[in-house]
Amino acid sequence: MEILNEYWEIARTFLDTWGVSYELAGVIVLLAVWLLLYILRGLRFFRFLMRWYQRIIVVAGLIALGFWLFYVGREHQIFLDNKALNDYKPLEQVNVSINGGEPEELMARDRGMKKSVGPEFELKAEILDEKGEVVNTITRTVKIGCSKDIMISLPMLAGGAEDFVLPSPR
Amino acid sequence: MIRKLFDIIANNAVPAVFIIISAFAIPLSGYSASYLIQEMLTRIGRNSFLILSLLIPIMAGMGLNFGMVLGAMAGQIGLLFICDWGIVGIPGMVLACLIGTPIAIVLGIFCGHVLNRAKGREMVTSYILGFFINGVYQMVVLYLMGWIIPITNPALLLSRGYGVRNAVSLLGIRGVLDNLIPTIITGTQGAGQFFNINGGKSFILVQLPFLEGAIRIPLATLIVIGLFCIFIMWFRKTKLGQDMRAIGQSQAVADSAGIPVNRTRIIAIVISTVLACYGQIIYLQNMGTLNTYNSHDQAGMFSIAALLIGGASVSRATIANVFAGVILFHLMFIVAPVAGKNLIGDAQIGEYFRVFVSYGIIAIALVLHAWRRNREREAARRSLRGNKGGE
Repeated sequence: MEILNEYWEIARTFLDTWGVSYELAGVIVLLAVWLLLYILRGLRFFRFLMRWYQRIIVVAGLIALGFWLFYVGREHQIFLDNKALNDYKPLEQVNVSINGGEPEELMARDRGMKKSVGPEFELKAEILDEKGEVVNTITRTVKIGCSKDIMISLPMLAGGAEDFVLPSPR
Repeated sequence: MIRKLFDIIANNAVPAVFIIISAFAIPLSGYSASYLIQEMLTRIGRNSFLILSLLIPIMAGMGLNFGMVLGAMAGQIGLLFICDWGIVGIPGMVLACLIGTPIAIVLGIFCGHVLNRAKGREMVTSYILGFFINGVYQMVVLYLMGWIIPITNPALLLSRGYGVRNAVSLLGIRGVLDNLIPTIITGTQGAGQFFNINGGKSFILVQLPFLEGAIRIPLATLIVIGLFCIFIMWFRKTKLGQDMRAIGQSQAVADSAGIPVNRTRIIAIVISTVLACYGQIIYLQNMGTLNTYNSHDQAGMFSIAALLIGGASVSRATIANVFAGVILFHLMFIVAPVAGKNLIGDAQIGEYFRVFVSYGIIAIALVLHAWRRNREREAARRSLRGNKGGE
């Protein structure tokens, strides 16, 4: 394992020096192995090896495609919370929209829910005063990754806190 | 001359009967042309893929693959998983296909091995095999899911904590393929233009002056079906396709020619099962609801019925038969109840008539096929004996 780590460190140093992304390097390595097997296909053992190599690559590619589809196609429930939390007081009125969709109007101590598809979404919060005029507009890109649902604390978002993304209340 | 005429009538009797019945039923139903075209397009998009999956086993001489329900079950398992994980849209549909594919391959290999042990009785064997695998499917879905197989979505599970509910909403993938390239044909608006309708969603609008009303076309689904048709045409010309055709003609001759008969038959069933899996996913994305324990049951029967009504037989089927079958079979579905109601005052009579005629016609198609095959065998035997004084 240590030897592997050592090789990986050497490879990473080279890649970082040349500015090559790890994904591209992976594809180049796969193609290089395939090319090597193709050149040596005259030998029966390598022909056998190449057949299995191709099958493994196809299966691995399909599994990777599955993971990617899971990543980009997952629907998330985003709970919008306008309640007091820690030292942050609830906002008088706030209109929240996700990915430019229909805005959700939340009064103080309200909680709403929106849905979003994909690993990240754009959140736009328009904070209104007592007269109903917009006093502040906050736009943030929130990354969810693979987790199912999240909750966003709007008072914390308006207060400038970085940890405004909370676990789902469910 | 009379014999030729008789042959033509015998070969096209089933579609001819359906055309005649439809010709009477359509005016009686009172439906407009645009409504009927809309319904037919929807049903072509919904069912054609499933029916097309039957062509390859017919090519390999394995008859009508009632075992396609195995593929349908595999597709449904894929859909259950994406529902649990909350994967929506086209990625959800493709992921369901990816999950269903290995299951369909395993089931197809199993089905192929069983059918190789029941040569000449493939249809009844695959029909019963469908019931057997249905039992396994029900055990997996009703007892193992939520208990051994992790299913966490409470909307999917029965209240006891394991087993999947009878009806599962596929709202996340409903119509995603059908509406991927939204297209409307209308008689009232400009042709070939993009308009923003319904909150900025674009539609391709095509104008046909003679048309009344608007028709929504599932263009992406039709493109997928078109590509599948091209695949079948290409597949027939490949080495494997030619092998299958040779096996379909005569297994003994194909075996003598060095074609691996059993292996090729298994491949034919595997391809059919995998395609049936995709077909069921396309079907259910159009329906928007998964009936966990029954959706697959009707898939085989309805597809086979439509194919036979399209003029196919147990040993010969073409792409044209598929589309003719979908149109005629589903036209009866649409017009018969209303025609019955308008004619007799009771929709049930029309529905009864449709079921009676549709499945009666299938029975006739199968009897005609058996009779024709016996006649051909007799003719072949006679030709071997030679024409000695009419012996």
